[in-house]
Amino acid sequence: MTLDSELPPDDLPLAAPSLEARVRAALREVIDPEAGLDIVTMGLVYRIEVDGGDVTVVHTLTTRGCPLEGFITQAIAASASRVAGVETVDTHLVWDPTWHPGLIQTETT
Amino acid sequence: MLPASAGSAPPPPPLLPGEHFAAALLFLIAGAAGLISAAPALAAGAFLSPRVVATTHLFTLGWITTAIMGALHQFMPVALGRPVRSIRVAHVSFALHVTGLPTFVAGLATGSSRVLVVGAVLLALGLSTFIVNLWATLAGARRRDLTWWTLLAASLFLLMTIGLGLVLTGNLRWAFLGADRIVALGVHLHLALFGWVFLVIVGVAHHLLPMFLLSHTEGDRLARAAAVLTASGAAAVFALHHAAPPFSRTLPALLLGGGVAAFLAHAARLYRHRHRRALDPGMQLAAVALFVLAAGGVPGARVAAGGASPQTATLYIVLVLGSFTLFVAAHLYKIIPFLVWHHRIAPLAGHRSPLPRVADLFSAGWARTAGGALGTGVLGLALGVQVGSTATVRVSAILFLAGALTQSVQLVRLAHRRPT
Repeated sequence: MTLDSELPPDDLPLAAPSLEARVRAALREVIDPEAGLDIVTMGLVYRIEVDGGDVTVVHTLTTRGCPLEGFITQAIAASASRVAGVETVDTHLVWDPTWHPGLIQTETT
Repeated sequence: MLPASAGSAPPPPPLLPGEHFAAALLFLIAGAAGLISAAPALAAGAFLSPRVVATTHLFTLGWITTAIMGALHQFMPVALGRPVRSIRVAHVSFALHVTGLPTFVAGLATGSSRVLVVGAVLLALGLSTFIVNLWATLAGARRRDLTWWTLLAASLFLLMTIGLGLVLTGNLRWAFLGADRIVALGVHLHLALFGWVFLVIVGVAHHLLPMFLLSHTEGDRLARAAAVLTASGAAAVFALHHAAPPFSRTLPALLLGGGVAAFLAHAARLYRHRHRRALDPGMQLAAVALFVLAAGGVPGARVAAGGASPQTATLYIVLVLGSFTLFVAAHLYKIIPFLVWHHRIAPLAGHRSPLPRVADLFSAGWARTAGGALGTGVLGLALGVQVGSTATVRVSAILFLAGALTQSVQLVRLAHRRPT
């Protein structure tokens, strides 16, 4: 995702967030129940691919064989599918690159 | 990117770890009560008295080993990508284990060598079937990492511990060891504490501490060093027990001490680099356990140097065993709430929002109270042994029992919690 450095002219409406950005925002509702952080902040979402209304979320888990696999995968699909403009959601679980806590986006207290 | 087709494995039915954790908590309470009963012997440094030996086994085999067995059944699919080989064998191992230990302890308490032998044989059968099941699981694992090797080595040391335990039990009935009994006891104890329990802790904590602390450090050299040194030390304890001093003591002590130091350094780095700054009750108690383990190095060095008093030897055992006891208690505050969340709360996803987090399922205040009582109890026991005060040992044991009861009640209530 890239950020536009130029502000829009005053006479034009503000650009609506892209579908990718809206899906990413929706995925912040998916909370890792043990860590208490959402999966985007945790760095578990590697990529969101958008093709028209078809969305593929490429994600990982904190560890292989994580018992939360089914829960998180379903929650990703459910959250992304509620975003306006999304027609289909596909989840793709990958292990490379391996997740580690250094991928967490923000300091938490 | 590597797809997720490889590596995932289903967790066991919740009954399997659940029955182990329930029994472990009962043994913890029994062990705490045993501490009260054994207070005079502990204060006198009489670590060979039947009450102290019975209590020690309630902690090593009852609390720690039963909890490890339950946790490994839950942990192996995560760490090895392989579920436990046979659920049925795991239940059989459990049944033999929880039948054998009370029988064994009753034999010690009553002085009945026949009951003692029956209990020891049941225990040996239970643990042996557990080991065979573990080996079958390890054989099918795709990844052979540090955790895999530590579990393999630890299971070998457990097998050696069982063998020596049977020899020592037989000696109580037929008295064939003579003066070698003390040497055999020392080897048995160290194989159990370091070869079995500590190696498992190293292998599992290497995986779990970063997850629980949300911590990350580059590389795992310290964890590998801890595993290699500890395994070498335990092997040296066994191989050199008949060698002349100082080899019989110094080399094993240096290796085991190095393993403990490497593990403590590894754990300290993980705590220092954690993203989650506020420690939850489980990780607080684990930190206390690590502190107690480090403190055990002082009397440990004196025991290794030779000529230590019985008080010093007892202090060493209290601190090391107390540390492992607290470490297991700490991790049950992580594992059991997660299991309950996974089986009771996760199915509500999509039907209820927001879902409670794992930490919302139990009172952190009560957990800290329990952990505080357990930790203070262990430190008080050590103090009582050090100064030879029966009253201090007894009061500390009562405090420890209060902590054990609080943790048990809290975790049992949690396990029965239904979503409202």
